[in-house]
Amino acid sequence: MVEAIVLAAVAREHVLLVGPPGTAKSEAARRVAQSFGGTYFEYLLGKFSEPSELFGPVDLRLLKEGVLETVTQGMLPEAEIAFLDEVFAGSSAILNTLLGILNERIFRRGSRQVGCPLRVCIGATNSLPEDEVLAAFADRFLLRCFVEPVSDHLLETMLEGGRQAFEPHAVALSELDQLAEQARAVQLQEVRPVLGMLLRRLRKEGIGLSDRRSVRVQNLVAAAAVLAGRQQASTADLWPIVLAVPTAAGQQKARQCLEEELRSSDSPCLWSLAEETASAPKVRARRLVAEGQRLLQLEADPEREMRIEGLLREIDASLLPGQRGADLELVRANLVKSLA
Amino acid sequence: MKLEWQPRSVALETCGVWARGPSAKELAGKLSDRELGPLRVCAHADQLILLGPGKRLPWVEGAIYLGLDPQQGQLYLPTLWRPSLPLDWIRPHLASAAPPPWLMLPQLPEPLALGRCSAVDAANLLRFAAQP
Repeated sequence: MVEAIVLAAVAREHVLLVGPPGTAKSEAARRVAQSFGGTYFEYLLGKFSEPSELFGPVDLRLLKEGVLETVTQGMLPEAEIAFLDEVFAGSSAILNTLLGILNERIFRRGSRQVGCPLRVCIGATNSLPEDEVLAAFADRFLLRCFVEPVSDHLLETMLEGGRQAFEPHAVALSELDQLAEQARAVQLQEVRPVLGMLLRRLRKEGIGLSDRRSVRVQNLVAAAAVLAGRQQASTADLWPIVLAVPTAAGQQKARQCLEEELRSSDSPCLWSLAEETASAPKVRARRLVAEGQRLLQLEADPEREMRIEGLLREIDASLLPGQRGADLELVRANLVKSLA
Repeated sequence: MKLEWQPRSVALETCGVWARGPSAKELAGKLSDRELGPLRVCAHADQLILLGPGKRLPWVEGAIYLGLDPQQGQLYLPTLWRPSLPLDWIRPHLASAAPPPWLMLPQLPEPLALGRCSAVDAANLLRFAAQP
């Protein structure tokens, strides 16, 4: 989830986290905000939420003078990172104002328009809205992340991670802005024909992306390229197209039907998200290197041995020797040595 | 007819492992220290084959991990390789020779009918590991 939020932030798009309660959606948002250090606004919307709870109260002093102004200090219009839980629960008054903030980064109140410094809005919901009007609002969240409770075999990892204090890796907001600027300048000419082909393939499979999503998915591709250190997007950067598919079933189908085309996917810093999306050998190898290095640092004990065996099994079962790369071959050799 | 093999674009889900010679003995040695649980073990000459949940399978150098082809039911293949011939062509020949399940590997000159291999229980693993 954190990687998805970072990708969206660099692409200057918004992300929707869809999943049951208790799946760490707000925790992911807080961690990213903490890393970036920007002004953060978080709110749980309900059907009785008032616009003033998000956008700020009316300035009564100015109202007495006949001027309608909103006190936005500390509220959503001044936030650089925003998390809105149950984002579709708000009234139409709230959603209409939110549309302007999400689309144009402009807060409109009466005749006044104020620019918003919002880098990324993270919306969370237990399920996608079926209402057409809400679905149109939901379309503003380009990147969709469907979250499930942790599976059985990862429970111990979750328990371990849940007790550790989060130490944010300091990535200043200015760095994020720089990356976003670079993403805007990324050359996409070489990959556009391939992207067009992928979109056609999705349509053929009945997975429709709106024209807006189809155009804006290029922002995600550009962001993926910049985060991989490339100023010219390549086929290695097309994997985010899966994340722009609006439904969970659609994303699953997209992963399957685009499996071959996304085999060359690679992302040095978003490899976890890229692997979830594209099952590509390079990103899998990166994850296995990271896991192997982590295991080698642990104290030798029977549990570590079992985990090392498990990792070696995964390496040998899922990657041909030619797919592993020098780093993984080295890690593999060290893991084997540690079992001897 | 010698089959050619091609790398798979996507690895099969692991549900078995095959080893031969020293690797097989090392595998048997490891297994003898553990609960077999849901694993089924069988042997053929100097080969050891384990079938069961991937996360229960031990690791030894030289072992080949196996998966089930999704379209062919009871045919175990390497997770990373597939025969160059369509499996629909191969399966009738397998079925006429022996009942399923079967194992096909680049390392084997012909398919192995797993039902004809000797089942190995916990008590016999050490004996397998100790054989010359």
